[in-house]
Parts: sequence; structure tokens; C-alpha cells
Amino acid sequence: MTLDATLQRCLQQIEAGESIDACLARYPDQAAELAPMLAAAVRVRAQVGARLTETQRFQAKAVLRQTLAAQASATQRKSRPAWTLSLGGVRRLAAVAAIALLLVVVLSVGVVASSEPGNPAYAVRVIAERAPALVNPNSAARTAAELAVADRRLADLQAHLERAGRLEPAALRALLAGDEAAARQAVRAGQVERLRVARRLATHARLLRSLAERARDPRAAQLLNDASRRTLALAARLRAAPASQSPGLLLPTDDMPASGQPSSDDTVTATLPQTTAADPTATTMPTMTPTPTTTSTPTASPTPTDAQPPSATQTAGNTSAPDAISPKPVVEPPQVEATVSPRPPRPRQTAFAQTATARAEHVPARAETATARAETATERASRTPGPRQTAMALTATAMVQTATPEPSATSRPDPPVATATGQAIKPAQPPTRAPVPPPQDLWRPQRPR
Amino acid sequence: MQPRLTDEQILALVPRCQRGEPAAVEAIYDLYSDRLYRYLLTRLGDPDAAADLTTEVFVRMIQHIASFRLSRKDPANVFSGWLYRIAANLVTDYYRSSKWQQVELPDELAAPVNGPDPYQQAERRETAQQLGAALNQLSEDQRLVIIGRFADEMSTAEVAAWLGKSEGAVKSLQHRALRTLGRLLAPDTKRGPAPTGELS
Repeated sequence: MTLDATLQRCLQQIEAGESIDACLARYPDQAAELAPMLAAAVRVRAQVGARLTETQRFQAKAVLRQTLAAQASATQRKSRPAWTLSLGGVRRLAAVAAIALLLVVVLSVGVVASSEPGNPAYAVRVIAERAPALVNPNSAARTAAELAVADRRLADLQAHLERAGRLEPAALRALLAGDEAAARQAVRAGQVERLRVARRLATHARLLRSLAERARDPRAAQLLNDASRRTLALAARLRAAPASQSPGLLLPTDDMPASGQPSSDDTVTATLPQTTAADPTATTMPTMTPTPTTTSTPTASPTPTDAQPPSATQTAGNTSAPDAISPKPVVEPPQVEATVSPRPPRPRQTAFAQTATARAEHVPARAETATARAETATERASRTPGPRQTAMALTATAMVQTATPEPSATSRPDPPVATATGQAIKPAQPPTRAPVPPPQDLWRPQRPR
Repeated sequence: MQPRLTDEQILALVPRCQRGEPAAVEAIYDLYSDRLYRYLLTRLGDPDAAADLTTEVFVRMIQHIASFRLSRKDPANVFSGWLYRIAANLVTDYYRSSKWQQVELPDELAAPVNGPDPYQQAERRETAQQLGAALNQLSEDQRLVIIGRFADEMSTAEVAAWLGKSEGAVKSLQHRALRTLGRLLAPDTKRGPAPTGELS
């Protein structure tokens, strides 16, 4: 029998009440190994009678009741009262509402930010994008912001016009408002800043004009043309405004004549690449010498089809052929204000202008006098022919040609001559020359024999 | 010997105890207190410390009964095992603390005038401490088998069901445990190795 089986049997016998020695006597071969094991079992079994006393039980139960009471009070402290729970509910509801509101705001911002012209949210986008510029305390920064926003509105105008074929009034209004605000801010700035803003405004005007030409809707074209003229006038006034001019003087008015002469500054690259690519005139803006003119080009035709661009090298008294300018004119200048200087007056230019004005005022008188003299000399030469009379008649005719401003090279009939005062006058008719053949040597007065 | 707990009793008492009913707590105390006391006494060898820790087992039960998940399968043994684990942890904490090393008052001062013989009490205490030190050298399974089989007078089948083991495994544990205890409690061994409170 194995030791384990013997141990189990001995344990059963001990549980039945047998002693250890009696068990070991039955298994003498395994007694040496069984003895300590059975002794240990008996020692452990001696604990069977171990019990808690009644006093210990009573004390233990009292401790347990106290523990239960403490546990209950702790649970009550942890659990919130009813009003706290309701307040917690309100807090949770407020948190949910705040999250929902935030979600709505985020979605709304996204919708507004991605809104295109024609969308109801576009008006909100226009206002929202301009708001930072309106609250910017720095004048230069606000000017830049207004111009940037105006650029975006111009791009929106073009995109909507090309895509939907319609004009977006909100974008046009925002563009004009931004340009006017930029001009107001720029008038307080230095000359460089004013000229920079004026260039931007002129670019806007040019692009608006380009859009007007491409607009299919006549009404849209009219509005764009009006906006172009308005912006161009704003640019011209900004260029001409002295540094101390009040911003209110720059406010465009409906009766404000538009400057028809874009300056050399207008060759700024267009802000809309699509426009510049589509419109070749955008990058080939005619330029003119900024010298003040006493007389401007008389080649303006009353019909747009005959409109000729001003000369690129037009100077005072120089009426070169306008046909040399290849691009079409961006603006329609039926009447050109010569008094509006494209640049702020400088002392030397002012003197030039005054001299030129005086000359221009004197030219008609000189022409009339010369004409009268030429007529008299011709009459005398016809009455009493002779080399001296002929020479006098030729001299008088040459004086008439000198005194009379030359007409345009296009030799248009009766082109109006704009004086320095802006009044168009007809040049004096050259007198009919004597039927004497003008030999080349006769141009020099011959001494009478 | 305390009556064996049935699954129905545990299924009825534990939820009430979780609700904080004092009657249910006292009922569980009556069912388990003596067993836990014997377990603690055999391990500690100190009746007073065993009584204190028995109370502490039920205090911890009250504090953590809310987190106890009652198993539908063999709930009585699962709950019993939970209580014994609490008791084993308390024994470990007891030995880690300095309580068991406190200097006790001389028996002549501590013993009541009309109490039992102080020499017998001292001898009994020393014997219990030797047994506790020897039991602490066993693994937890071996310890529970020995205590269940001999202190609680449980059959092999009952211990197997209590510990969730087969009867053969319980017999093997019992054999190895008795061999170790016999070696540790031999007459030539004055005192067993220092208790370590080792738990498996």
C-alpha cells in the first residue's frame, strides 16, 4: 500500500476516534514517515474547537453595525441631493446646448466661408470678410485690408459673371465700398501711399471696364461701366489730392466726371490673372507722359467705335497720330479734362502748365492776327503783283501756319482743340493761299531789286 | 462545526448585504466567523489577533461588498473564496506590520486572577504560534486544504468543491502539506522558520 493510501486510511481512523499510536502499529513499515504527518494533522485538528466567544461576537457585531452606519452616511454624502441632481441635469443640458451651438456656428462659418456669389450666405460672407478691415485702427493696414477685400470682390464678380452670366450686386457694392474706404484712408497717408492706392483703384476700374465689355446683360454692363467710371474718378482725385485734403473731398459723386486718361501708373499688373489673360488690353494699357498738357488729343470720337486711344507719348502741343497706339482704349473719353493733372502738381510742372495755358490763350489771337495779315498781303499781291508782294504774302501765310496749332495727324476735319481751360474751340481756318505756285526758293523772301 | 453554506443562502444574503441591511451582514457573520477565526488562528497562533482580524474581515466585506459580482455558478464557494482571500491579505498585512512583534505584558500581569493556569496558556500560545509558523510555510492551496480538512472537518469532496479542484488534487495537496508540516513540527525542531506570510 502506498504511503498516500495509508495516510488516508489512518486519517479516517483518527477521525473515527482512533489514536495515532494505534494507527502506526498497523503499519509499522511506514510508521516512521506517517508519525510526523499524523501528528501535524492532529495538531491542526486541535483547532476544531476554537470558536469566538459570545463577547467577541457581540463586540464584532457592534463594530459591523458602526461600519454599516458609516458606510451609509458616506454613501449619502456621495449621492447628490435632488436639487443638485436637477442642477446637474441643467448643466448637462447646457453643455449639450453649447456643443450644439458651437456645431451650428462652425457649420455656419463653413457655409458662409465657402459661399459663392448668388448664394444667400454670400452677403454675410461679404460683411464678415470686411469686418476686420473696418475695425483695424491702423490706417495703412486698414487700407491694405480694404484693397485686399475689394480684390476678392472683384474676383467674385468676374467668376460669377463668367459662370452664371449675371452680376452680383453685393460684390459690386462691396467692391465700391472697399475702394472708397481705401481712398479715404489713403488720403491721410503720404504721397507714395496715395499713388499706390490710386494705381490699385485704377486697376479695379480697368478690370470693371473689361468685365462690362464682356457682360451679356446690358443692365450689368451699364452698372459695371458706372462703377468703373466711379472708381477711376476716385483714383484721379486721389492722385490730384494734396496731402492735406480732407477725405470727404474724395467722395465720388454721381456727377463727377471721370478722368479719361489712364496714367502711366495704370500699367500695374492686373490683380485678376484670368482677366489679364483674357483681355490683352489689361497688360498693354496706354501710357502718357505725366507732363501736364495744355491741349489734349482732339481725336476723341463721339462714337465708341471711332474711339482712339491717346498717344503713348503725348506731350503738350504734340498731337501725334493716335493710330500708333494699338490697344483699344479702356475708357471712353469723349471729353478730356486737361486741367486734371494726373499727378500732384510740382513747381516746375506748374510753371510749365501756366506758360502753356498762357500760350494757348494767346494762340487764337495770334492766329487771327496772322490770318488777317495774310489776307491783306494776298490781296495786295493780287492787286499789284510783284516779287515783294508775293514774298510778303508768303511770309504772312507762314505766320498764319505758325500761329495756328497744327491739327491732328489724322487730318480729321475740324477737330476740336481743347484749351487749357477745358473749352473746346475750333482752330482758325488757314487762309486760302494765293494761287501763286510756291517755288521752293520763294520760301525765302527775296530782296526787291 | 458551522453548517455548510448553500448557494441559495448566498444568493439571498449577498444582495441584501450589498444594500446595507444589518441583518444580512450579521447572518453572513454568523455563518463564516468561526471558520475564518480558525483559519486566522492557525495562521497567526494568537487568539486575540485572530479575533480582531476576523472582525476586520467582515469590515472589509462591508466596505467592498458593493463591488462584488455574485456568480451564478457555485456562488457559495466563490463568495467563501473571496472572504478567505480577504483574510489571507489581512494576515499578510499583519505580518508586515509590527503588531506581531510587540512586546507583550508578562502573563502574571495580563492574566486574570481567577483565569486558567498562565503556564498552560503560555504553552498553548506557543504551540499555536509554532503551528501558525509552519502553516505559513505552505502554499495557500495547501494551507486551505489542511485547514478545511482538519480544522473545519470538511471531507475531501467538500474541500475539492470549495477550492474548485478535483479530489485527487486535494489529496495530493494534503499529502505534501502534511509531509511539510511533519517536518516543520518535529519534536527536535524547537521552533519553525520565521513566518513569512507567503501567499500563493
